[in-house]
Amino acid sequence: MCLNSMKNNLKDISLYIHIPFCVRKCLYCDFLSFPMSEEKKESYVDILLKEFEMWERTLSHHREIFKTVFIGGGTPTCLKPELLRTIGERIKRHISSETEFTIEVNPGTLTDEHIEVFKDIGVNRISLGLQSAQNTELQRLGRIHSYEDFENNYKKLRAAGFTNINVDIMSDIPGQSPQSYKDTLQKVLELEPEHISAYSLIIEPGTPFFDMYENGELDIADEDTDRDMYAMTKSLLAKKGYNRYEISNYSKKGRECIHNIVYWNGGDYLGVGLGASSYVNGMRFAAPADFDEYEKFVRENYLKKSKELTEIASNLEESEVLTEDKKIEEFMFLGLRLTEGIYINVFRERFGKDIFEVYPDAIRKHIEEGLLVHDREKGRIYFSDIGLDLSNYVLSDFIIG
Amino acid sequence: MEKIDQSHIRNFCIIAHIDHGKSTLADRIIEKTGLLTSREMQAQVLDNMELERERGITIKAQTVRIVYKAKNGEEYIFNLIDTPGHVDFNYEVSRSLAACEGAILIVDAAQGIEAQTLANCYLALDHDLEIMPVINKIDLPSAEPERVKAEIEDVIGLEAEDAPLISAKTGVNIEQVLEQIVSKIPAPSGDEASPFKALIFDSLYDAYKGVIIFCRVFDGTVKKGQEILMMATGAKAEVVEVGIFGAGQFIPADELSAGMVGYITASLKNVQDTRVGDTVTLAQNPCAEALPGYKKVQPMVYCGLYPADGAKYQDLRDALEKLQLNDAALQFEAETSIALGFGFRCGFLGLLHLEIIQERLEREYNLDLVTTAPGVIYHVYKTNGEMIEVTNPSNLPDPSEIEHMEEPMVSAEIMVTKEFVGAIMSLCQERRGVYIGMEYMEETRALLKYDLPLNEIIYDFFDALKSRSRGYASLDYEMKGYMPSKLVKLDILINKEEIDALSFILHADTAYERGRKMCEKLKKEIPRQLFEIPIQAAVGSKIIARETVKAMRKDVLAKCYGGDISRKRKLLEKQKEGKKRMRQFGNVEIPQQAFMSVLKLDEE
Repeated sequence: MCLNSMKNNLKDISLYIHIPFCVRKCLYCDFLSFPMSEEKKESYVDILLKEFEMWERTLSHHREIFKTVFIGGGTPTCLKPELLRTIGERIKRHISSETEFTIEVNPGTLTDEHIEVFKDIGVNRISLGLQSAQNTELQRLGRIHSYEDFENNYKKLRAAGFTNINVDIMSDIPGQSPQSYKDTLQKVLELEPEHISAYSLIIEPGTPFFDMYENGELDIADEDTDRDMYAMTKSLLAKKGYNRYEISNYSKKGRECIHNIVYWNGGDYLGVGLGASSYVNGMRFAAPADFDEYEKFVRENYLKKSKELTEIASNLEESEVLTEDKKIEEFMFLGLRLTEGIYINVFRERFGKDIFEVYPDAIRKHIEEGLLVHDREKGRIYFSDIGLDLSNYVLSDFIIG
Repeated sequence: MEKIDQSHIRNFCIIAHIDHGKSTLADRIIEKTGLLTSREMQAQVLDNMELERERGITIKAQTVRIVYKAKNGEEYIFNLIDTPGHVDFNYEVSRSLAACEGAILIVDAAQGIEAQTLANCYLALDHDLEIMPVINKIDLPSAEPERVKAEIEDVIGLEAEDAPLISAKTGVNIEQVLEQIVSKIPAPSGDEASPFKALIFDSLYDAYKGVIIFCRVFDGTVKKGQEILMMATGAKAEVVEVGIFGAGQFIPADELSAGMVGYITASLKNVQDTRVGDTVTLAQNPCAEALPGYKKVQPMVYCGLYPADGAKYQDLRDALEKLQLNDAALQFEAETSIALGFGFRCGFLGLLHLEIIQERLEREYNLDLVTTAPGVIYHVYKTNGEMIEVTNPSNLPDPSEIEHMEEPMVSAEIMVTKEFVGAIMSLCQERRGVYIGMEYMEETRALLKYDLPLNEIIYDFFDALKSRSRGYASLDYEMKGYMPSKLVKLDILINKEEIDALSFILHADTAYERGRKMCEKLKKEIPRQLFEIPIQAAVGSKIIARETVKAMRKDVLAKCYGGDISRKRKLLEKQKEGKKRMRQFGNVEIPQQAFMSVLKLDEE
């Protein structure tokens, strides 16, 4: 009885593992990732597992079993299968058949051995970075694979028994036409993945694309073309039974990515690896993004054997205990990304306040503008279709002060 | 304090083009005279305002008194009177010069003489000052001291053979400068027995002492308890304290006598009473006539200053009042704008003066400001025979009531290297300049003379001049009077509503071009909103340019996962900050930046 009630007080937590390596950096990529020698990769995994152990000691307020696990990058399949197995073995005791366990796969680096390891360590969801079914567009993006590589690997994964697969695709690729984008969508739909993430290209500062864009060397879709592609995504996917459950994410019923929903619902997650972000016990923090600093941070804190997460995390340059206001802001700007929206009673339960009292003007204004919808029956507030397109304009009004 | 014989006083200033090393040389002189330890030396002793240091220019004249023990074993008092280095402050420069017997002319060994150097040199010669050339920055690889010496001799006609070759930065040959100050600059020769007569070359308001008058005594003496009279303003007050200038501090003295430079405090509350150039004498025993050259400085450039947050109106008034205590040239009066609410129409000596005041208000008084386009004083002759002065475009009478209008002109001298003469001439043409003449100073450099409308040079003429000459052109100008001109009022309409704060007066021939550029600029500055917004430029009821801000269709962050949340928050916070800087006009939100951006249309 006592044990049970204690168990019920324990919180869910998810795990993210960052593999900051790739064969070659894509021209648009601003993620923390770079090519690396095999020895360096091995020593990285070594440090990463030490870091994991260091945090593991501090998670007494959480359940033993992770709600979800996500190995992302970079390119996780840039690691040799055996290294992935080492990671998998180490976290195995925190995984059950209930755990959603995703790994990101680059179609240019996947081997049969990788697939075997995935099965062995309990991976049950695959996220494939395709971006486009046109090889010219893939080259323009600096991707290392062809459409055929993707299709082969997709089929292999299916044959190996993976029944939950996501495919990433991209619109607004330089030189992309609405026709070529439509063709990409159709080719992907023929394969019937459970989940599709459809992004428009964002030109991030610090990427080669950014410089090319500044120099006028990128042939980017004009606004009307962009809107056409955007509308096409929603209508084509809807026809095939995919529900847009978040700004850029579509899935078959019940196949939403639980791991990502944890982010949007303000759930706890532990990130391990270079530069990885975490949100645990109301504290946001991120590991150093510089390799040497990261190594130093792990070595020093690993030896201290501290059981206090706050004590370790507060050593990080990037760490912040969220104030109540910030928690409220996040609840709004993350929660509203989900098309279902946010629930008024959940807001009250979490913060002990009425949402309309916290945001007396903003909500009313954007409802009047037709960007937000108040569903009185279900007690929720959500974005209209136009509202999703203009979400930043709306969400910035939920920043307090 | 022992009385110093006039023969052991040297009163001088330093004249130089901006960046030629005036403040650095002043520092070296102060350092070498040994009255300051190096610990006391601030990086630049003379420029004590933070803003001045950042801009590398001297805004308000500062003065120091130092003691130099010369090689002949005698001690000399040096009064180094600083001069502001910008064309906006020409009159102040002339008054500082009038307080001296000599001037050190610094010329950059690499760049040679500039228009401003020449203008200040002529000013100094007008005041019969002994000019002592010094060639600075000889440590630069591009230094050509012999060429620059020849230039000084050919262009200004000054003997430059024994001009010290120095590096103010490294301290090379500074002793030579000090010795030449003693040997070349004449000692003052006032009459101590005559009635007290002194020139005000600056004044400063201090919260404890009241107004502090900076003056040069020509004749007689003054001491505590006497009643002084400012001859031009007629203000009288009893002297509370007299003294001399240490470096950055006031050192009280028993009296100030002929030949000395020092300060007087007399519980005056406002620098309006102690105008630069006025003569101070004793009320009981006044001198026969005032020193020549006094002018009441008049603002040349006007603009509206509005608090970004309407609730800060009173704060802005308080801040302007405080600044005015120390700045007799700053004028302001309350005005209202439909677009911007309550604010002030302010008058300045020039655009630099405007920018300095604006920055001080923002920095020292923490005010967020919206500034309207700067303009000049137009003379509007009405059909009923009346003449009115207009500084705010909104006050321009209906065109049917206007007989004609006149605008102020300046005579400008621009010094430029030969290769850029063509570019600068076409710039002057574009700005409605009237060509007066050109002189070659030497083979490679020319002095261009133009008459230009003041309103054409107050916006961005300096910037254009610099960019079209790759920084080599320099400018000096003085007021020339009013000329009839075909002027019109250009209005800007946003979403069909006239925004009064964006209206301005300009020449009819430039209206179309400027209207078009303003619309283009505003289109870039006004963020997309939920609906389409037309931006129009109009003269009277005629629309002369139009742009459209399309409706916003996409403002969304495609990705937001665990590692993106902090970044996403920052983005939204920035967007929220941006919204705070918007002003609401009907349905349209206009960022404050838009009001400022139209002031610089020719940046590209």
